[in-house]
Amino acid sequence: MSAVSTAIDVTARALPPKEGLIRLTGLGVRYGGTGRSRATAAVQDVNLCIHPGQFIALVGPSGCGKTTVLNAIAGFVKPTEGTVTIDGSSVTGPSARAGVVFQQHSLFPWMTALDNVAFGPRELGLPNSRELARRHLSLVGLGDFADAYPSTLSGGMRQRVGLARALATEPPVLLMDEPFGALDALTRELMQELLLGIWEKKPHTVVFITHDVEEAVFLADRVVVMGAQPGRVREIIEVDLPRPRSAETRNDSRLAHLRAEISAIIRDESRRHFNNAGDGI
Amino acid sequence: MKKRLGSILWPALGVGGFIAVWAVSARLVDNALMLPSPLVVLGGFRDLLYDGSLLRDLRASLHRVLVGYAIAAGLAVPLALVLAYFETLRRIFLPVITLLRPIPPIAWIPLAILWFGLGDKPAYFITAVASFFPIFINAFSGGVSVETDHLNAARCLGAGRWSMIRRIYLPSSLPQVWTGLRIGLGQSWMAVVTAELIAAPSGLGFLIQMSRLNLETPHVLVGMLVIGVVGAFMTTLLGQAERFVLPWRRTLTHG
Repeated sequence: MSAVSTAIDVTARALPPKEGLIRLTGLGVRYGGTGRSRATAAVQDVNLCIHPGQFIALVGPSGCGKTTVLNAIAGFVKPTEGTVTIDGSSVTGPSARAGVVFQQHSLFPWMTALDNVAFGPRELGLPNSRELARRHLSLVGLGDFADAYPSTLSGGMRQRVGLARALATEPPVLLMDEPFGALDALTRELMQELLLGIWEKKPHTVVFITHDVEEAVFLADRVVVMGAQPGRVREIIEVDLPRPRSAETRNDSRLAHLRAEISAIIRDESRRHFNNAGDGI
Repeated sequence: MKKRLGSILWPALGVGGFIAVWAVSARLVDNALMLPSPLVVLGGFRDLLYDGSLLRDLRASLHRVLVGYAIAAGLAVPLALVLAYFETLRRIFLPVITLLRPIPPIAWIPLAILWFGLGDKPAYFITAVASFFPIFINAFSGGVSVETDHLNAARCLGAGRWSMIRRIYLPSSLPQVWTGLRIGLGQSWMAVVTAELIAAPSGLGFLIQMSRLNLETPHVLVGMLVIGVVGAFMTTLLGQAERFVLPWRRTLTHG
C-alpha cells in the first residue's frame, strides 16, 4: 500500500474488482501559467490512493479544486506537478478507462437516448453495441425511452441516460462531477439510491464530487474534504455506515454525526479562506 | 381545430388588409403610372402569364439562384468547418473573409461583368457572393461552438479523431449550418434580381427593368410581387424541411 494513503480497505463485498486503482502523487495543477503572468495553483500536492471498487466523495468550499482533481483523473487537464495513474499506468489524456458523468447538458442532443448510450460501445468496437446500450438503459429504468431525444427528457432522466452512457463501456473508474446538483431534492435522493443499487452489484471505483455533504456521506466509503487557496486535501473521513445502504440509512444517527463533523471542517475552511481574502484589502 | 383555423385566419387578415390599403391608396393616387391598383396588376400578371414571358423569366432567375447558391454552399460550408477545426488556417484566412464580407453583392457587379460578360455567368457569381458570407459566418460559428463537455464525453467514450469529426463536430454544427443555408438562399434570391437589373437579358430583374423603361408600372409590380411570393415560398419550404434535417430539434421548435 502506498505511503500516502490512509485508506482502510472496505469490508469485503462480493467479487472485489481487480481494476480501478487510482493513485494521485503530489498532484499539482496550475492554470494560466504562460509568459510572465503568475500562474494560479488550482490544486497543490494532492496525494490520494483510491482502491478498486471504492466509492469516494470529494467535498469542499467552492474554488477548492474538486473539479480540477476529477479532470486530472479523467485526463481533461494535464498535471503541472506530480502524477496520476490508473492501475499503474499514467493518465495522459481522456480514455475509456474512466467513464465520466457530467453536471448536465453533456448528452449529445442529436442522438436518441439509445444512440447516446451506444456511442461508447460502438467506438470501442464492442460486439452488439446496441444490445449493450439497451441493457444499460434498462438498468437505469429508461428502457422505454430508447428512441427519445434528450430534449424531450426531464433533467433526472437525462442524468440517468448520462449514467447509462458512462457505464455502458464498463470502465473500471467512474467519475461524477456534481451529477445530481441540478436536480430537485426528491429526484436527487432517488438518483442516489439508483446509483448505489447499481454500484453495490458491480462496484466500479467511483470519484463523486458534490457540495451536498449528506449526499457525500450517504454514498461514499470515504469523504475527502478539500481546502481552498491552494486546493489541497484537508482531511479524509472514513464513513462506517453499513452496506447495502437504502433510504433508511438516511435516518442513521451516524450519518447525521458525520455530516455535522464534515460540515464543520468545510465551514472552518471557508472562514479561513474568507478572512485571508480580507487581508488584502 | 381552432388553432388550425387561426393559423389561416390571421395571416389572411394581414394580407387582405394590405391589399385593401393598396387598393384604397391607388384610388386616391388615381394614377396608374405611379401606383396601379391591385386589379390592374392582376391584369398585367395574366398578360405576362399568357404570353409565357413570366414563366420564362421566373425560370431564368430560379436557375441562376440555384446554381450560384449551390456553388456558394459547396464552398462556404466545408471552408467554414475546416477553418473552425484548424486554428492556424483560421488565423490565416479569417481576416480575408472579414475584409471581404462588408462588400455588398451589388459592388461586385462591375467586376462580374468584366470577368464574365452578360448573361448567366455574372449572375451565378453575384448570387454566389451574396450567399457565401451568411453561409460561411453561420457555419463557422457552428463549427467553433462545439461544447467542451461533448468533446470530453466523446473522448472518454473512446472516440477517435475521425469519429469526433463525423459524430460530434458535424452534427453539433449542423443547426447553425442550416441557419446559414436558410439565410443564404434568401440573400441569393435578392441578389439575382440586382444582378439581372444590370447584367442579364432575362429574368425577373430584367422584367422589372424593361417594364420600367417602357413605363409599364403594372408589370414592374408583377415582377416585384412574384419575387416576394417565391421568396416567401422558399423560406416556408426550408422551415418545413428543418424537421427532417434537425429531427432532434422538433420538440424544441414545435412543442
